[in-house]
Amino acid sequence: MLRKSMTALVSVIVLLSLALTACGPTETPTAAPTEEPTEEPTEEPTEAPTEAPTPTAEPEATEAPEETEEAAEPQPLWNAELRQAIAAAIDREALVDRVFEGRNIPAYHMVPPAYPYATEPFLEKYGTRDLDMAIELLEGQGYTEEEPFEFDFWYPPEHYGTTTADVVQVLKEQIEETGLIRMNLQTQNWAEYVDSFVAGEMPFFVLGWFPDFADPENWLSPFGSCLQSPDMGVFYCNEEMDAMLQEAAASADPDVREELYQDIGELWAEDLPTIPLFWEPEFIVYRNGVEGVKIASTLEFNYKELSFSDDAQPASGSTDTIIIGTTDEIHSLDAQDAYSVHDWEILRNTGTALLTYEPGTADLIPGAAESMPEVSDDGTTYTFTLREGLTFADGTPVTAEDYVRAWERIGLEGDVSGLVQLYVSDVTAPDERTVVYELTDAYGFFPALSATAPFIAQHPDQYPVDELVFFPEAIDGVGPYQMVSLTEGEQMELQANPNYFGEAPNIENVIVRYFADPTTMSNAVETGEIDIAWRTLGPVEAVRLQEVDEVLVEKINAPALRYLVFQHEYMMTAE
Amino acid sequence: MSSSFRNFIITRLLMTIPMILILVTMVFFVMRILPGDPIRSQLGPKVSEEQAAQLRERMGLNRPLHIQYFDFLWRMVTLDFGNALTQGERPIREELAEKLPATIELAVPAITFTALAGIFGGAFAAKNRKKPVDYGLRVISVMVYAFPIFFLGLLFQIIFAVRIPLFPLAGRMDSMLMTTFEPITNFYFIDSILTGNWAALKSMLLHLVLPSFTLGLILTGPFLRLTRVNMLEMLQSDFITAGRARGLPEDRLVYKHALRNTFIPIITLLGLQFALLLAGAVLTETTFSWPGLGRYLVQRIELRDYNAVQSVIAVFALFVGGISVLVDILYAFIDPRIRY
Repeated sequence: MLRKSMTALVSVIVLLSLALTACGPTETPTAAPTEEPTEEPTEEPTEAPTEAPTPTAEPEATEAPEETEEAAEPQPLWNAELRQAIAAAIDREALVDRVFEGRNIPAYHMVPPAYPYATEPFLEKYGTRDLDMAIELLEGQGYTEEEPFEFDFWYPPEHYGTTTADVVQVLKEQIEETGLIRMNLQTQNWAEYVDSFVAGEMPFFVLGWFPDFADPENWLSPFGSCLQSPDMGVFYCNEEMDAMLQEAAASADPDVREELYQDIGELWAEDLPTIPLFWEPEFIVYRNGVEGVKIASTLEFNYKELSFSDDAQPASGSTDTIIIGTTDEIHSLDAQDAYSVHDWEILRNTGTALLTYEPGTADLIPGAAESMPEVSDDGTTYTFTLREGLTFADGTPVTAEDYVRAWERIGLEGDVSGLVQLYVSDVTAPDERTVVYELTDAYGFFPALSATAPFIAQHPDQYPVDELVFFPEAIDGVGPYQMVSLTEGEQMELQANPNYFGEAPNIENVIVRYFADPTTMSNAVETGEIDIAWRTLGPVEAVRLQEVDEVLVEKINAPALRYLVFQHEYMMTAE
Repeated sequence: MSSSFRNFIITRLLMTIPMILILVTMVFFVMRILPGDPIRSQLGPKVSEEQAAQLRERMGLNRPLHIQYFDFLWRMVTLDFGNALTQGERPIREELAEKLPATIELAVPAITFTALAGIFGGAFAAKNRKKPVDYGLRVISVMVYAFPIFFLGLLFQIIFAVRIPLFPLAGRMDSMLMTTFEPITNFYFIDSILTGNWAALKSMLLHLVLPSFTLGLILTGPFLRLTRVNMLEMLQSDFITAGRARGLPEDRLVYKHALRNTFIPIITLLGLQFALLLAGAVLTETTFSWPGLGRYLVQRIELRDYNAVQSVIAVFALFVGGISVLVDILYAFIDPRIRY
């Protein structure tokens, strides 16, 4: 009897071990970029700007303990020459060919090529690759084959999909081809990975980035500014770079911005806060007969544009309902908290920000505002006039006070609050239809920011001013759809908003169905159980589905970037 | 009820308490030893240390460990599991109320299939000892046990949902039917009967086939082999020989008389297998996008959500403990020799 009880105890412990092992460090393959860490710059100004490590030409190899000097002064691991050597040794074209069969796009700058003011400074300085330059730089630092430059390179094995391991392996080969570097691959589960790089424990590591808003500012300052770069594990501070970034952000003059971003790009390739690697496209797969799939580089997916052709065979059996599958999860459906791609997608379909994008393009147009904003002479005040007769889905009028309340709710410190607080200092409502934003500086890109989710008005009954609501039971917003039900982990139902100010959606109902596994989702679109499979189908599934007659596979050149980060303050003896 | 049986039940129930206590204590401490914390895993690097500290305070993570531990034990006793620490911070009781029925609804047909297929398969193999069907069944039992669950799951999906579209691929019910379905208990089987929604009932049964078959098949192997071995022994025993001598049909001897006497070790195995069933449910739910507790556990472990993981493991432990107790009681009921 006692033995049987002990056996039961042991089996329970086995259960625990199996459960933890089954979902341990490398969990189920949620392929490709699931949630890009859309890091926004935090507002905290506590980090004292430190100087960039001076390029001391230290000849000693990092791991060779020269016991000549006792407790030697800790030396920075990195200097500009060493960083440049690594940048020169990387061959992006070969990398994307080998790992992604050419499906990804080499990135020669942190700013997406389709953006205004985008340049290719890395291509200009290093070409597609310059191994000779890399070797020369390393030899100039005193490294030899017998005593190479050695350091750890970190990556998360699963967060960006299973191809990450292949990517870092190819990088290692390319960089070690110099013969003067030894790069040790290290890996950590995502939760620990984030802890470690924020603490500055990783000298060189890989990350992904997806923008908060469509402006070069959001691709540069988070990594290159003295204030924000520590939050991304970069710990980079160069006063010249800082000044240029600030001036470019605060200018509304396109010529000035163009020149500044040109200079910033050149300095970036020279001083290397980070190294951009490649752009990873998203894939959307939809059944024949589904039309109106318009997703631009902003990655905004407007469900109201979708429609069925006459010969379509909808998964629901009816042309008034379309089913969209996704492997994303809901983190929060509160616009003053939500900070992930899927959450913003739902919020932008059930709500409309002050400005929005022409579907399928990156062109800003009025949204909840009746026109583009008025800008004060000094560029720090933006005034929006709301559309006349604007209401929530239940008919409750929308007023300027709703935007003041949204600003107050930013004070609840939701995940997205830092993004807004960095640029906005106050919001007032002089009358019912006028909303005035006071900015912390003259940011010319503020219109792009005002098209983001935190600038969506939310129903006061569903989103009280004093608390965040992550999982509302319904959303009666200002968008083309309203959310009528949510069964967490299963599906969400949206219905056309009868009080929408714009043209009614083509399809009355949308069901978003949640999958745990991308392979299952790809099978579901193949069999017609769903009409659209969107986020995140990896390249393997996308290629497979191209052979299936009943579906169309479309590549979205979304600006999802993979890049390498130097921890500029990393000290050698810290290893 | 005899006093010895009553005493047995009481003793057995009391022994379950330390088992569950040890298990949840282990989980509590293991979660805190593992690197990574819920703040960082949810919010990434954006959070300043000051904000992170504020959040830790709000979540009670800055309290002394022993305070957190006793607070957690008390909450367990009062079935107040608190809120999840991250991603929505929903009350865990609500999550359990939604997801536990889904897992049970998957596990019950799975274990039923396991038991029936294993027992009757083993009996059949024993009856046909050393014939090709015996060898075949033994090989199959090892194979299905060795295959990873997600591999089998995907294989069945491709065969029975994609190539030959007999069953749906994933989920608990057809999307359109879900829009009008009213869950009451979150056991869709019960709820569809209670609401008279026969279309929903048919849909949920169809959706249940592939995942429960996958999960059940994996565990069939040990049952089959254990039954076979016990049956072989039983078929050598005197009372079977006597039955044969009296001219009883072989089928009746095997399936009625011999099989009944092999139930005792099989019931014990059933109790042990239940623990593996829950572990298997974790992977099956992911493969079939089944919104159960196993899938929830995976998500919450990734997020280092201590509260949620502790609570789910505690619930699993309660179930395993409970089943184990039931099995022992049943065992003792069947065989009076087995009592304290």
